[in-house]
Amino acid sequence: MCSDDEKENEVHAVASHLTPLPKPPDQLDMLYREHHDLVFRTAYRITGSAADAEDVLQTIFLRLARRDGGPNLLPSPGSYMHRAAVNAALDIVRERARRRSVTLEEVTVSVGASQASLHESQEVHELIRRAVARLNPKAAELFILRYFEGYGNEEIARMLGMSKMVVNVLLHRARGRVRKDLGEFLGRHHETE
Amino acid sequence: MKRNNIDPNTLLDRAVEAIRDEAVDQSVVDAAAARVRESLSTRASAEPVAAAASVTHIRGCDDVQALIPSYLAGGVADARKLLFEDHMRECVPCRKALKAARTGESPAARPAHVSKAAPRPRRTAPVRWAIAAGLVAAFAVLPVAKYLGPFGGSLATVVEAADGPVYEVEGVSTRQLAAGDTLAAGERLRTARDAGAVLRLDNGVRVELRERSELAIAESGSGATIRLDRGNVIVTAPASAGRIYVATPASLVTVEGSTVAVTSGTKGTRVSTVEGRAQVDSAGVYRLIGPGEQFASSPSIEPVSVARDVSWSRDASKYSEALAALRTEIDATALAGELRTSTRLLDLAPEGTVFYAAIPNISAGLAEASDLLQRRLSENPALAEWWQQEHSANHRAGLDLAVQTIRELGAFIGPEIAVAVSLDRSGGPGAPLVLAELKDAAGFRAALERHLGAVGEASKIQVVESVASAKTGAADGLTIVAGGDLLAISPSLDLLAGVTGGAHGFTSSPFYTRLADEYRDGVAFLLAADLERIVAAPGFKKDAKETDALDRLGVTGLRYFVVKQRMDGTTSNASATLTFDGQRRGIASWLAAPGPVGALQYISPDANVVAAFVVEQPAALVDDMLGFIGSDDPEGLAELRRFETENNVSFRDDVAASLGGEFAFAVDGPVLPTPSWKMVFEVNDATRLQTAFERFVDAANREAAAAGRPTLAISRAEDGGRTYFTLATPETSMEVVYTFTDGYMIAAPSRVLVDRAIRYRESGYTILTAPRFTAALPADGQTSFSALVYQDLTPLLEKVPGTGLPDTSMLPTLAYAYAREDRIEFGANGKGAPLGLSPATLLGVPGSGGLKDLMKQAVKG
Repeated sequence: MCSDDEKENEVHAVASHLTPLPKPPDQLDMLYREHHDLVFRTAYRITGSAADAEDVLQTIFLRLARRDGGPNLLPSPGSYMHRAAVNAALDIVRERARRRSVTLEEVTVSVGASQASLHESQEVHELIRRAVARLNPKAAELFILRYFEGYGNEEIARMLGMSKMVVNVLLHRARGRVRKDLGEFLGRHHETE
Repeated sequence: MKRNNIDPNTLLDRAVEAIRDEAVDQSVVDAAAARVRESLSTRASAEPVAAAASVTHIRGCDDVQALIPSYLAGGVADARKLLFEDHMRECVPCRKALKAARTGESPAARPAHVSKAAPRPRRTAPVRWAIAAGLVAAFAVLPVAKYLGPFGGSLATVVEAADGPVYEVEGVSTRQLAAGDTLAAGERLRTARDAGAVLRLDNGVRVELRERSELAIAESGSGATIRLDRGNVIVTAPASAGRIYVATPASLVTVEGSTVAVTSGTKGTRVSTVEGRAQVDSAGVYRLIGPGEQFASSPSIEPVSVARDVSWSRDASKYSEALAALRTEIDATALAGELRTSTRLLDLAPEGTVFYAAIPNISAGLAEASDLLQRRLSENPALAEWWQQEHSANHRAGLDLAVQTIRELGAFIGPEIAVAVSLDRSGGPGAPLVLAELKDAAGFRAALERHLGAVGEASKIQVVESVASAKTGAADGLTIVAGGDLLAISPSLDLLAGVTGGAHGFTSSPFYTRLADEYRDGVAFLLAADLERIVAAPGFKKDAKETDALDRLGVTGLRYFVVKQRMDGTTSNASATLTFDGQRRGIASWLAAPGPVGALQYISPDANVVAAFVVEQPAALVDDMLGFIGSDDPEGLAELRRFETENNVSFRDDVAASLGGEFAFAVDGPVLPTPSWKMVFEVNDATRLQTAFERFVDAANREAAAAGRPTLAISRAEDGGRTYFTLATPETSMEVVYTFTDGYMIAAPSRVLVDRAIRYRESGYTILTAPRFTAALPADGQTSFSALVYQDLTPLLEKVPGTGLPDTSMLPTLAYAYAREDRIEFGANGKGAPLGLSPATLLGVPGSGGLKDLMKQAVKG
């Protein structure tokens, strides 16, 4: 049945020109195996919650599976996944801020930590996360990539296809806003002492 | 009070660091990953239902089938429902899918999604899916465009021109269309082999079809959609027409106020922008392409120049073919002159001549060419239209006058005009002397005086029969001696007296012998300089230090520089030879004997400018440079040595010694916003070179930082098994990316360009195989070059005036050099005469200057 095989191959070749071939399951599988760890950990850093990180992981790969013609993640699937994780996680933090409207006052009252460990307190972390989520989406992504994920300004510029100047300026402003929120919190924190 | 000291900046830094360092237990990650994986495989198969609501455009069977669940649930709007049901009557796979959905079976007709989620199917399954997908596509392609129709309004399309058979295709029937016929929305138009058509939409959009193209036009909500199933179109959309979409099976192109060429073929879609911009959406990837840029939906579609992509256009051929033919014809007419193998003008050159040029008297040819141009203009309305557009009435009159003058005066002059320049007593360049043979001295004088009177220059120029009758004292005036059978022009009466007095001191010099040799071989254009005497002249030398520097550069070893040009048919061959008084040394010895340049394999066939050369020994080159610096500027050399010693680096041993002998530079790709330049070096020891670079940058940075100057940064990135280095200054956005591969270093302004260069080499699709490049190669006994400079401006959209399309008649030029033991030979190939000043150019047929411009310059100067 060798000729049948040939025929099948021919049909295969012709069909592949007519419509994008079904994406072999392996590709998505491979992406998942390679990147689920990165996606999960990134999402965890941003959301501060394992359950939310799991949601991010699921959202991203479900989206990929639905893409027609296969995801085009080139030139670098790694940085695509990383950015996707950052943005999906930010969406969750934004959503959370809307849903449970924990006010800053509440956060302040619950802080009982000493000055030395203030930077380790979950409240401060949550405060920073929300401050970041309040930034405009682009600035938030920049902030996360730079400060949570530890990319250099130049790499970020390349990843996002922006000029380095713009990245520098946006980051500077973003950091200023987050710091201002943090400063206000510290002021209140001091008053409650 | 202590709390007051907490600085938000510090807290932010530390908290962010804490967030970054907070570890998640691997078991938590693994458990979550396993759950998500499980859920993905079940949810993805249910995906069509989820996706149904998101179908916004119906572009194929997939979209129709995605609507099935909503349709069954009664959630499809009326207009769409009609469309849906109509399609179900015609399309077997979709009907099957609908039936399956009704009876609750799994939606087998969505192979793409099922196969993604299903556990690995049996071995033959992918092939079956492929067949199914192929069938779906085959059934979908034809009917779908028709369904776009009902959404459309009353968009009227007029067939403006039809060359050859153009059909409207409807099911089994076809109707041949002629110019003036209209095409209703949704009707399919097909051009037969060797046919073409131009459509005009009532919103002003112009669509040009190539042969064997098929499309349908529909009006969609936000503009018109041209559904191109196959073939080539050029869409010109005025800004007033809003957005025009060109949909191909692979991509969706948005055209707005621009001219865009779209090709749809078996392999996919290629989009080229001629003017303005276009946006392309291909498989979810959006790209904005600028003027002269190109997009291909598949990597298997190689880029071609935009010029070639639109070369089939009726507009492109309307002018450029006619112009190319005319150009060739005119040049052939004007330059058909015989080669001259003897001259008496050379003998008349003054003693001490160091520069000699001989040009043929092309006045007769030029006049003939001008007549030819006028004749062709009257025969070809398209050309005449262009000529009127391009040249104002004033210019045309000026040109006519110039041609008239040349024709009249040139008729008195012999076949050759020579210019000689000798050194004056101080060793500087003396007054020039122009010589020509004359047929009728009295007639010439009369004609000349008439013309001079006409242009009002008579006061500065005296025309005499012999030097004896010339007035002395007119220091800045020009004296023209036209007597007997000789014409001599010079500002210097002494020189003129020498010519007529019969002083032939020049004939005994070696330079004369060299020139006489050239005449024996036949001369059309000749230009020669006696460099040995120029360099040795007292006017050239300054002091011992400079002499030493010149010596080190090898300049003192120069002897002659000779440029020759002759026409072979319509191609001109220019060659130049630089000879030395022995073995080449100094700068002149850097160029190696001809050898292959592998670095050219990294350059694309569409490169605009390419320069490449092979050098003997990069280290020796550095030695010469340092030697030159040392003799010219000893402190500079000491400063360099100090830098090297202090930082423990050696420019010669670490950098130059790691380089091979090949070098190539190219401007290859779009020029805006950053010119796509690239440099390729042959590298023998990449590790050592990179280490040296880093040490140099470090050292330079230390010094720069100390002096408060901007510093450089080298960063390193690994990707796909390749290491990329980026050299950047933080203050500016300038950066250089380079990598090492296969013994070469490739540098470019971005990583994309570096990657592209490597891909060209891997694909074998390089400049070396480009027909335009190979056609420009000279026919001679050499297999390689020592150096070459190639220039092809066509990809840069060199435009034919008035068409907006590239002038495909412009041929690339190639200049090259062969380095030999005691001389370097230069050559150049390309149409036209030296410097591109062919007779056609002089008469104003596209090219660079034009006679009128030269005249203007001359008058101004």
